[in-house]
Amino acid sequence: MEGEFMGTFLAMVVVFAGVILLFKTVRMVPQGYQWTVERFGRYTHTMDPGLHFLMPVIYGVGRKINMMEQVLEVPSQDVITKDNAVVKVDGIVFFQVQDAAKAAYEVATLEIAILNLVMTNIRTAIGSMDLDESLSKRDEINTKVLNAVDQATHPWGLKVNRIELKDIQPPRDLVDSMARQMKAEREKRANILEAEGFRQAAILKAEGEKQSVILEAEGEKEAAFRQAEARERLAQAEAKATEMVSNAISAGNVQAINYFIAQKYIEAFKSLAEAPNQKFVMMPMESAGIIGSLAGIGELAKEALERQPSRAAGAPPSRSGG
Amino acid sequence: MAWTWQTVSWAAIAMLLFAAEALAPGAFMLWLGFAAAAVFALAMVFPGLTVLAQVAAFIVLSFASIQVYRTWFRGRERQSDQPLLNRRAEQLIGRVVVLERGIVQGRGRVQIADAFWDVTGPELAAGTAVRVIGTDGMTLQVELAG
Repeated sequence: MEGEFMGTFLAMVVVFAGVILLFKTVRMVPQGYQWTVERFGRYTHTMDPGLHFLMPVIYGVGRKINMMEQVLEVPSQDVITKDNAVVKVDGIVFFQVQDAAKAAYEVATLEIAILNLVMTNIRTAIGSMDLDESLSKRDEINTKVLNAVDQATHPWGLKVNRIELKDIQPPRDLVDSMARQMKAEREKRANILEAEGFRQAAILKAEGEKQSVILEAEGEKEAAFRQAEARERLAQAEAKATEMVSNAISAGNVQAINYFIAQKYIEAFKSLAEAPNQKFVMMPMESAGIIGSLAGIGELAKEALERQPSRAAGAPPSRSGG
Repeated sequence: MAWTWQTVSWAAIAMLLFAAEALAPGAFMLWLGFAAAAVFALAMVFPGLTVLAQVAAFIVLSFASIQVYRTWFRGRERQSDQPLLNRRAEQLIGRVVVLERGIVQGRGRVQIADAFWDVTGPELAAGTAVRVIGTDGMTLQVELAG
């Protein structure tokens, strides 16, 4: 009975020890990791992902190193620029272990080491620039910091792939004054543009006025020329007409003049009578003139009547011989 | 033939181990399962075996079955179709890149994606196209791409 109990106890111990040994012997490294192997605490080799068998007790797993690319947040820190502005800077680091053994044993606290390196290098890079530069040349800062950190972490078997500054924050009052400066700059530009616009408009208006005055004067000049020409032509025509009339008079009868005058008078009277707003006719000229002209008409008529009967009788003209 | 609790429990353990293997593939429960099944067979054939002997047999057979796996089955496993996973430097072999800094004293530098890599190779001026032919930990070995 007691022997059976002892046997069962021993069996349990053996099972326990055996299972532990088994678990120590067969090791499965997951993808994305590499495990270092130590022989009595001294590094011997690195296990790739997959199933491995280790002699228990003698060999043991040392460090389990993540071989995937990892992201580290660089905590926000105050950095002083070249022109003594204090800015808050944070960032992000992408790195990947290339050599598991070096990452395991060359550096004690890998992440803290990387972070401190990055932070000090960011301070250096921004400290050599003034504020405006550090705000506008992030690429340059990133490259500078990346180069320095990448070289520095090589002994630890790391590849730093990328370092980005996430946020560069100047202090609140500085941001306000920057905004004010920008606003003032834009307002200045707007005012200048407006003033230029007014100036150009005034110039254009003045030029337009000048042009119009010139054109008007030219028009008047032209008109005067034409009017003078017209008057000249009229005078010529009148002279010609007068000449023709006087020729006609000298060649023919004085009564021709009378005929003309009579015609004009009658025409004048006709237009006076036809005028719609004329209620009564003023007679500004002497009635005697008209009467005289009528006498002239009478004379004309008389002469014509004297000549008519002889023509009607068909007799030869009475004035003959002499 | 001895259908006792002890013998049947080996069969149960074997079943449980197979089930565990099915739940967590890639582990080695399968081989422990085979060992347990073998112990069950032994216990059926030799009813006189003590529990201690059975357990010892189980442990020994477990190691033996794992050894069998290592020698016979290891080479026939399906290989990864992405053998270069997590090996950034080796993934770059065959790439043609332009030297960012000329190779002086056997050392220069190239930029691939966002990262800068140190390279070793023949003396070449900056701006020359080079092909990555190998890696040496953190540095790439290059030759003139032609």
